[in-house]
Amino acid sequence: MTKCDFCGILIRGDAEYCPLCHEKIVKGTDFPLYPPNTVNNKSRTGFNRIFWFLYVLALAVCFVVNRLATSGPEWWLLAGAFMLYVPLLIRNTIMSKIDTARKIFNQIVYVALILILVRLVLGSESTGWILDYVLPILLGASSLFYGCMVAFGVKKFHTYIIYELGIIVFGAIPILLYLFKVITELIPSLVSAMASFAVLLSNVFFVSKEMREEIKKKFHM
Amino acid sequence: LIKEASTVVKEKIARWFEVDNSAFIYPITASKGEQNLFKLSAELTEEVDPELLSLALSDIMPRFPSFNVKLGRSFFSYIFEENFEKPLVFTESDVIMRMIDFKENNGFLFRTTYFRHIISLEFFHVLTDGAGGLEFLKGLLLRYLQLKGYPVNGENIIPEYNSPPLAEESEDSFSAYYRRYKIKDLNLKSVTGSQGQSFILNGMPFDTEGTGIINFQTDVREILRQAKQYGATLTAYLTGLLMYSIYRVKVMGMPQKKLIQIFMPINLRKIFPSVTLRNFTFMTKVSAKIVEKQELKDFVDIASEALKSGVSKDKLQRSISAVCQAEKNFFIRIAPLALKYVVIKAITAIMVSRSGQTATLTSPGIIPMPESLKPYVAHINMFLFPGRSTRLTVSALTYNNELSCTFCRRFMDTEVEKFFIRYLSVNGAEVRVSGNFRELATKNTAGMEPV
Repeated sequence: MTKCDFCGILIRGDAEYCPLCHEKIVKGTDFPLYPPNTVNNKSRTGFNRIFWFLYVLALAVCFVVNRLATSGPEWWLLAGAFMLYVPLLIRNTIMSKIDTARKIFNQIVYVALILILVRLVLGSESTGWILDYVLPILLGASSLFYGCMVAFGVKKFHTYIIYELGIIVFGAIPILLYLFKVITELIPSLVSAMASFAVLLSNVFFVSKEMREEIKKKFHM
Repeated sequence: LIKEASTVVKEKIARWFEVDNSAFIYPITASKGEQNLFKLSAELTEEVDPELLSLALSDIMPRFPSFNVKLGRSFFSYIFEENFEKPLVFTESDVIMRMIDFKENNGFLFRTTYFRHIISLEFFHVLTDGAGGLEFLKGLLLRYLQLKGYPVNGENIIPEYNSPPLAEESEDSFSAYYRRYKIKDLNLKSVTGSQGQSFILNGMPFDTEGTGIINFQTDVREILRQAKQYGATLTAYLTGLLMYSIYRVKVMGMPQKKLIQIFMPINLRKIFPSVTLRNFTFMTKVSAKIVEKQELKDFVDIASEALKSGVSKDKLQRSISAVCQAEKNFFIRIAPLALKYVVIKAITAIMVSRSGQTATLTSPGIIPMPESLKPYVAHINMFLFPGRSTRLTVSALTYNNELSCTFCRRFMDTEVEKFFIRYLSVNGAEVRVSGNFRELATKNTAGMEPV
């Protein structure tokens, strides 16, 4: 142990300086007490700032061009959504460490929201088919996908079940939209709802002990 | 064999239990930049053997089931699920209390590290508090030293690794001591936070991620002698001295309306008998108005008074109930976790921006250790993560008549620590100081010598 004459204290470890006043001292000969410092400049803050700067700038340009140069739908909103979707796809899905079940669920939600936005911005005349056909098919197929994952006992089936139940609920949305006359085509919406119902029914009839426990756990209050 | 083992694991149904009432907030307030962590480390008399440490860790996990968990989510709440993975041992990073990457850590909510002759455990606060963490550390040390072949035993202070776990160690003691009160009788002010806006410690942040550490060790009897001069307990004296140091270094000569507020976790086990290893602490606070001329005695008196009134059993009983009552409300219980997450995150953000804390001081007290272990365990230290709301934390504990006190900070400036430690030294304590010199590991000064 060495001493700092300025602070009047003993210094442990192998320090060359006093931790309090930073005066040079005789280097200690004890075991080091902390790993040597490294300079880690890995920071996402800089990247985030650049991204948001470019995003707001591009959005502003799209808005101005949309308003001044064209008269028609508010396509700058769609441009903004697509520009946001790409980093979401890369950071929150491709590079993210979250489980695969959640990644797929997130993508289904993002895509469904973009489809709804496209339909709202471009109007029902040119893009009515999006809500009439694409959305029900997407949700119905997603229900079947999660149902299969759970039924065939993928390695981490328990991570899929909560998302499966979420997608089952989403599967009923097209038929509700049909009832409120937002959607005009009955068949695809009905197929989506039936697919969700079939998956739900399979859970009731073919539920395993593990799955029952999992449901109990997930809905414990 | 491997195939057989994996089948057995697959057939097992993971046991699970709800995250305790008081800990529910920790996963919500955790963000990408910070996690509410604390670290306990034991300095041994010889270098650590990582392979034996890994063996010891695997051996003790069945004895401590409340630590053998990963964090899961139900539709309504966070849950702890039994973890079938192997706990891992890492070499210590220079970033003290670096966020725990649960994926890299096999889902465990604590991280075991070693560096030369030091064994450390870093805990996410959702799992346990200081008292629970110390029990786990002692269990690990006992098994490690046994594997090293030393003649050590638990002496009824530390449970043997092969003894059966006690159910009471995994209980949620907040729920166990919950009594229903009318809302007007609850000690709601104690739960909602401060008595006014706190004076926030500011300084130049580190260029790179990490926490600045300064630790000192000294004979506790000398500090007790100093405390006695002010008629105070050790904790009250240290709290008073911390406030005085902040006052002298950062505030004096700049009168203001803000308060110097020190938040202090109180170990409820001392007042409400419990052997739980899960969270059972409650935050109290010591607040001092800033006036023109204040002496150390003024601050020590304020700390003594606040600690006396803060630990009254009736007051704490009401605080426990205040914590639990909201959680037991039917409408809150049926609210989806996503909604609770958004609401609690917003409330805590508002509370932090409105009041904040000047510093946090935790004092787990005397750490009992079997006599047979003492020749191999030289020192025990505790570190508390300094977050956005508390930029300076102080952890003080006593082991083998030695007071170990660790300052953790988010900024380069070490003036408060310098004043605090020099004061003890000038008044007769022989202090032994160490630091991690994080302030030198910055982009601008890396490789440069301090002036």
